[in-house]
Amino acid sequence: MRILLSLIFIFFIYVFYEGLKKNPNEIPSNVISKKIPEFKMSGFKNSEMTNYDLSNNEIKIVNFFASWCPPCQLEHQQLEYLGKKNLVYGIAKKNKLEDLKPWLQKFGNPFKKIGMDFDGTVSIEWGVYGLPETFLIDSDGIIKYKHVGPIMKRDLKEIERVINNIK
Amino acid sequence: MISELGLLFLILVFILSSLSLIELLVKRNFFPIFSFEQKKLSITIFYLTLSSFICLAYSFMNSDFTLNVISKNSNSQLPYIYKFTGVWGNHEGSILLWLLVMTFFGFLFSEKTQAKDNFKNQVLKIQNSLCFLIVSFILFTSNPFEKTFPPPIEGSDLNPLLQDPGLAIHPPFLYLGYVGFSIIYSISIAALSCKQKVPFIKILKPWVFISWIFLTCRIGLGSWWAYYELGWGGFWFWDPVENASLLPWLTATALLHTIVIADKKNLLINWTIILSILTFILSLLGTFLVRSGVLVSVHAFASDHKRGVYILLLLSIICAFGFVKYLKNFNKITNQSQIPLVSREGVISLNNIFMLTLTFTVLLGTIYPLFSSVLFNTKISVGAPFFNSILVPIMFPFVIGMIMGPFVRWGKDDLINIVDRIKILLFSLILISSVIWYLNYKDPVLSIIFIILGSWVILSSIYEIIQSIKINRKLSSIPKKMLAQVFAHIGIGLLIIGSTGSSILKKEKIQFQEIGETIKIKNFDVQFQGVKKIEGPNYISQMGVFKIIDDNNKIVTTLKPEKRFYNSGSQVTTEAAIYSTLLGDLYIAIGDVHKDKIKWTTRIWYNPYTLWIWIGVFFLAMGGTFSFFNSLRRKK
Repeated sequence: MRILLSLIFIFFIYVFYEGLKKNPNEIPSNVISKKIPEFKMSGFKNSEMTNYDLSNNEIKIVNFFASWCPPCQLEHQQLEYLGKKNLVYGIAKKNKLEDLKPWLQKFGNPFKKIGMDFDGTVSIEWGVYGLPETFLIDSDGIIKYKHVGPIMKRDLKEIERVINNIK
Repeated sequence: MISELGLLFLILVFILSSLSLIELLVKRNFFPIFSFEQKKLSITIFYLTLSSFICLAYSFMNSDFTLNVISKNSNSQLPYIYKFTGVWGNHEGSILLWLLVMTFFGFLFSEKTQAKDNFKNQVLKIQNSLCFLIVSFILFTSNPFEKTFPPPIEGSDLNPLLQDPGLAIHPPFLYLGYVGFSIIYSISIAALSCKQKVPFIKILKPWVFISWIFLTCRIGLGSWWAYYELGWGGFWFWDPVENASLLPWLTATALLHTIVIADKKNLLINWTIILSILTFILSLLGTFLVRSGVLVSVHAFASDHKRGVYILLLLSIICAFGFVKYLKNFNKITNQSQIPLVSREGVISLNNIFMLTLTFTVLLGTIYPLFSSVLFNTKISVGAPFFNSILVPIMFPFVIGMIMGPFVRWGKDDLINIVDRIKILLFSLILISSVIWYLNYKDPVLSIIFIILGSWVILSSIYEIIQSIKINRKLSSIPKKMLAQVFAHIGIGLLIIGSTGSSILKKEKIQFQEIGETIKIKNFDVQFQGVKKIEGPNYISQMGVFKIIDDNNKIVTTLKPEKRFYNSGSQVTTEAAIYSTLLGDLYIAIGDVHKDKIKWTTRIWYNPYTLWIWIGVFFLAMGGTFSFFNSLRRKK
């Protein structure tokens, strides 16, 4: 009886201790380890953007954003930083062209290409439920990592670590 | 200078309380130099902690931004009252408050309780050792006197959600409840450690009641705050934080029933001790779950790995110490005897079984996401549906026990006799059930059943009082004990009705409401008159104005829900506006303006019987208070 009680006690403490190392706010995503979904939408500069744009043999960062989303401004600098070494694509969710243009002029444009997800359907395909969200995609077009919320300076380390791992 | 002094006091507390710990661990005659009079030690520790707390409060009042906690949790624009309550509006200060309350209970025990010297010494030794654990937690991981360099010119703000009278007084109540259980733990462990049998139940009793009263009030206050400040229209969300405070409350409620048997019949002494230890451990577990950040919760305490590990360590030490002591010594105080099922003792034991079932179910639901994340690496969330569906089947036997219990005799009773004794009551219960059913037959069945159960509890309690008056023929001669029990049970009855009304029966309307538009809910017309800009002391508010018109076209009241934007920190809070009547609350919260600038998101609820919840909590606290004074009087 005493041994059993001690074992239960130790088990509980173990679980609590391990629990401390986990982040309860981390929500797993269904799209991780899957190929990017097929999509087709109009681009920011009159061209089109489809999943073939993301099928080159390089590591890509896809950022869902909108000019009407204040937290998206917070991560702009970090995206520019990431854009120096990586390909960063943007998908503007439910954004009007006339709103987006001045916004990019004001804050800068870190994106190689921007797709206009006017009705939000592409975002649904990607499982995006809030803005901003950022995906890391490896050279085979597999989604490797998802970041929910603005990328702050403190998040850069983790993102760079993941990029190096994919390489 | 003042802050250095505060730190110095804390270090002194650390040194002095460590002496108690050494004495607890090392045999007294082993090191005669370590032998101190625990009573003096307790009193000194209390005054030192109080001084340290005053130093921190003084620094907060004078906005001393050289201190890290103050620069992060206060602001020079803050009204004085919130500068003061800001002392415990953060992790570091609240743990200092915890220590203060803990030493205060030690101080009270040493001054007020009459017990044999060696027993008292033993209790205080344990209590001071607990203080040692907490003070080392403060000094090593959460020092409120930590400096920041360079000091900022202006502090960030106290979280606006905390700038509210309801929440300002809720942490002190929380600690008076939670930490009150520390002295119960100390008394129980001391009773186990003493060589001869000690009549500790009588000593334990008032502490159980007082801690229970505070915890009850604190849960009530917390729910009340959530009700009007969060603007979600509800008062209980089964959030881990709420569950964490409910768990010790459930075991404490079991304890205050058991202790009556233990006192009267000298039975279940062992069980009383287990419950005492368990209650304190659950309080600590609650603290761990909330402070370490292992669970997602509305309480966003800055979680810190080091702190989590320390609280876990503290929890393990206290838990292990308690149960090792128990397993080593329980034979000494066992008195085996059978409790017949149909007897007052039997019914109270059943109450305990239900309480503990409920405790472990809530505990399971609360920590299961953590277990599944650690053991199976899958994320799971356990929410209100789980808890609600578990609660329903447990409520039935629970309420039946509550109704019958007070009419069952001590020792041994007979079912047929009981039914014979309360036949008038049973008849009136059937009568009231039919009336309630007839009046509400359109409502969901579950709500009718719960309202009937609640009214049964209230009715049977009133019947009990009437019986007592019949026998004694005088109001003043009603035994205090009965009064306590009747009040508490009526409180539970009111709670059942209130929470049924505000959950199952609530009506909700969320819409874009145009200025001038009227929304009908229940029998009220809610007319939106527009939005005013109001400037508060440290916030700007958008105040919606709603005219409430009843069936007879009479204006009942004007409700003014607010959305406040705090100057510093750019945080936004909702202040719901509530029109309360005994029948139900009309509850309005205002959201954002629509793009067209003439429509606003408004959320309007009609929550039947919500007022009864708060009255219920008041009745519970009154019941506890009667018991408390009764236990004091009996001791003399």
